[in-house]
Amino acid sequence: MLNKKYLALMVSAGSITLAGMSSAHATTLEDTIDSGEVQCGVSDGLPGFSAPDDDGNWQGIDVDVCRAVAAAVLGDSEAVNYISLNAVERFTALQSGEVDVLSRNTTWTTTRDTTLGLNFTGVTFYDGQGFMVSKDLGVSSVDELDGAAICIQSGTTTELNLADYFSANDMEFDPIVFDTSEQTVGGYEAGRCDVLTSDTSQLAALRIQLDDPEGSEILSDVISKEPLGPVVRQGDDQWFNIVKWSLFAMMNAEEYGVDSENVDEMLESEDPNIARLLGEDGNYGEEMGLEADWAYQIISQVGNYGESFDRNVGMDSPLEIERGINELWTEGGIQYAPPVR
Amino acid sequence: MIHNKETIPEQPAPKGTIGPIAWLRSNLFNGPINSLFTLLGLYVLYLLVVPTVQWAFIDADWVGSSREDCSRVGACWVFINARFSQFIYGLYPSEEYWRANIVFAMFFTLIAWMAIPRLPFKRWVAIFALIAFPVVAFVLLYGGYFDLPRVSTNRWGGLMLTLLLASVGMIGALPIGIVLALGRRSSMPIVKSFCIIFIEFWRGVPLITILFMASVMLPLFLPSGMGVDRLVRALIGLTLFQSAYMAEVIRGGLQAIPKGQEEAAAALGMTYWKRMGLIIMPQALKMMIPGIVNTFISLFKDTTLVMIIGLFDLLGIVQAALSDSRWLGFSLEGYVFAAFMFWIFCFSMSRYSQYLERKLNTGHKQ
Amino acid sequence: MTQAATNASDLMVEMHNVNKWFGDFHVLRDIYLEVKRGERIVVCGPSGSGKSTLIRCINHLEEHQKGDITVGGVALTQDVKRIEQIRRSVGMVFQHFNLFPHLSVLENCCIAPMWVQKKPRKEAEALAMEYLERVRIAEQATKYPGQLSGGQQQRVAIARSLCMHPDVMLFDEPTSALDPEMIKEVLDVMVELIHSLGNKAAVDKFVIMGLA
Repeated sequence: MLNKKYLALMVSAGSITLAGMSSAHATTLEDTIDSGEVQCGVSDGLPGFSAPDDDGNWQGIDVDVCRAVAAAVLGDSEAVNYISLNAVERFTALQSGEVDVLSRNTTWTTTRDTTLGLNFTGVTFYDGQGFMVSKDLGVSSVDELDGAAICIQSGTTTELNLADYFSANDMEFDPIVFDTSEQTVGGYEAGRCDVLTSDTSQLAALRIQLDDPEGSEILSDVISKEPLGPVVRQGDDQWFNIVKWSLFAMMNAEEYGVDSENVDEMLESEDPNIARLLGEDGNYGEEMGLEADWAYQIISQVGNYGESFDRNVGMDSPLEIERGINELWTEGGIQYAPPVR
Repeated sequence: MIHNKETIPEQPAPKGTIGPIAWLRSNLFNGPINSLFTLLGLYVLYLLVVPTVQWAFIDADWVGSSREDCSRVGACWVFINARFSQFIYGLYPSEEYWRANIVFAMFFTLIAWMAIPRLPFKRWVAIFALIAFPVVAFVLLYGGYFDLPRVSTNRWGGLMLTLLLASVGMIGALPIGIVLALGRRSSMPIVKSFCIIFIEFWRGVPLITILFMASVMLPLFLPSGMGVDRLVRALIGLTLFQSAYMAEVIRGGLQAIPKGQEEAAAALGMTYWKRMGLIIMPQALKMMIPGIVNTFISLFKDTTLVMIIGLFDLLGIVQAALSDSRWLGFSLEGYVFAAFMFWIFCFSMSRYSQYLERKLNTGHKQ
Repeated sequence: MTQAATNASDLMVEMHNVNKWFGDFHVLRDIYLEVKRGERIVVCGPSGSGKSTLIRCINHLEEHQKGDITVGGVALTQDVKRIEQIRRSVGMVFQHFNLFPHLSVLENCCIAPMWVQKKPRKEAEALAMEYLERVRIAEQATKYPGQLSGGQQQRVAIARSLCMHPDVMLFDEPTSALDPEMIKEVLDVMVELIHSLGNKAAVDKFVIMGLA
């Protein structure tokens, strides 16, 4: 029934919607400065990556990325609103604007990069499928595992990767298949197999929960590629750059020997790289829409990449994951940050 | 023929027919098969209870601050101790705990006041509880007014969040359920169809789906930047879901009222709402108490599903605590604690409902 | 209720050409009935003949499909307001008493005057006690219906209806559900009421023989 009242209602509803949409043309940087907090999407609890600690503060290597962005943009690494997302809603939360950075150990793949309207800004952690063996086995590399009994969870990519790798290398293995991850771990503990395979970050968490953590070790070989990194929406290049360079700043800092302890002294450094990084020289911060001391804030409040790695997943943490390929390129790993120049 | 002219004096019962021995004999050992079952049962109990007590109490570690203080032999209650305030308040900032404490104190006082029979002014307390208390609680917990720093709803969690979700759900579902039940019995076709569709929709869809839709689909439909707070989404979903179940419980109760009651009230000249409010509903509600409390208990437990949308209720915060790399491996202690907390509340509700039934039945004596 | 001073106003209940069907079953056929003020009507008939239905049509507990019913000058139509107006001036006593079990005897009698006629509590209680005395059950005022016998409950029901000061009283098989010993007490009350209050009553059959 089309009468005046109905028409007027439709028109006003339509214009309100349009008005709402047009106001979204403020950039993410402007919105973040307005609200005073970085909207950061994290997991609902993943050891080492994002989990709340005893005092209710979020800790983890993914969390540190958001803290770095907050330090760079707002000068305060605690100015973050952590929104816990499960695996199903994580991408829609980013697409719809509920969060501005998704730092949730998300694997960088073509599909995600191209079809979802999202951009990956870098790699926080190069993960991959690894192997945990009992030390009694006396094995130090995956190539010595020909003929081993391996516990796996059915229906996972883990199972597929394993099969591919072993057949490609003319090796055989004896699969002991379980339905759930708890059962798989239980099988390993009970001695039904010699080897447990999963992403190395998961293996580190599982190892702590064994009755005898010291009796097992995680091999350094990795047979799949799981690059985990932060994600932002497409269409806001400025914000993309900010998140990207926040992580790079942390890596550059470690490369130049700057950490949270010595960053104040380093302000006086003669090294031109350090001077440019910390904002003593040039206006690289301004070019991104940030203050000149953007990297200084990151390093002093959050630390450099090595510090973040060590305290969350590395040797200073219960997980004790080796740096491995996550080392800087100068130390034999593949973490390489372009220069601030 | 009557032989005794005097009353025979009282004598004690023979030894074997009263007292605990007699009870055992007649209830547990009154035949070979029953005796066998009794012994079997005692053996099973022994197998279950002794290791449980051993694990939970005797070998358990109660004091400490980190996992090193736990031998893995018994339960590690150190974990519960260390994270206890997190389990109660969620990620609420600790310097603002006093605000949550005030709300907790008011909440339990109001409940106690309504529950304990002899206390007066119940009507005023009820009005306060339904109108003033929510506003006060919101202002205190959320902040933003009176110089109280704002605490985003993301940080609300633990037992506090569970109680909040359950209370709002219950208080919302009951009146909406009543309206839906009355609407479904109405003779006006539009009202009736709407109520039927509404009830059958919300009963036909699992709560988890509703929460998923609210958290995943809703943000896509709203213009970007305009978000409905996740807690609000959860509350609305929970309340509407429960109201459909409540509607059917209430409709069942209404059907049990004899038609003559409504006719008598109508014959006295009472209008529809007066009949409902003065005659039918008071009678029906008394009968519906088991059904209503049942729905409430199930709602209380359903609140754990908000984990799906990233809210850390009591169960969710325990799970999140278990993912702290410093506390990996204590899932058994965590879940036992969560189960125990839920049991306390659900059991209390169930006992209270039995008490209510007994109390309200004395007025009837049919 | 104000009334025009015409002869028509002497007619409390008028039913012209009233027909009612339950589905296909034609239960009331071309009913013509006029009850003048002060008249007492007894409707007798075999079971299933529609006596209850006829009475219940008067206060719209049953709806007639054809014909006109007028009560106290007000036409009974689908209009809810009219129906309520008529019900306020028509009292009804049911076969199964239909007392409100969650209210005391006194409250049963007070509730309608307080909530429908908006009388203050004191006035309603005084009125209720007066009628409870009239039906000789005042001493049970604080008891609950569940604690009373059938005869006592029916007397309370009568008092309850009277508290609204109706212009028309309907009795739908008032003693059918009673044990023989209790029928007399109820009938006595009814007879005394009829004589003393001069009310109009369309009363369903008196079952007990020997009635004076």
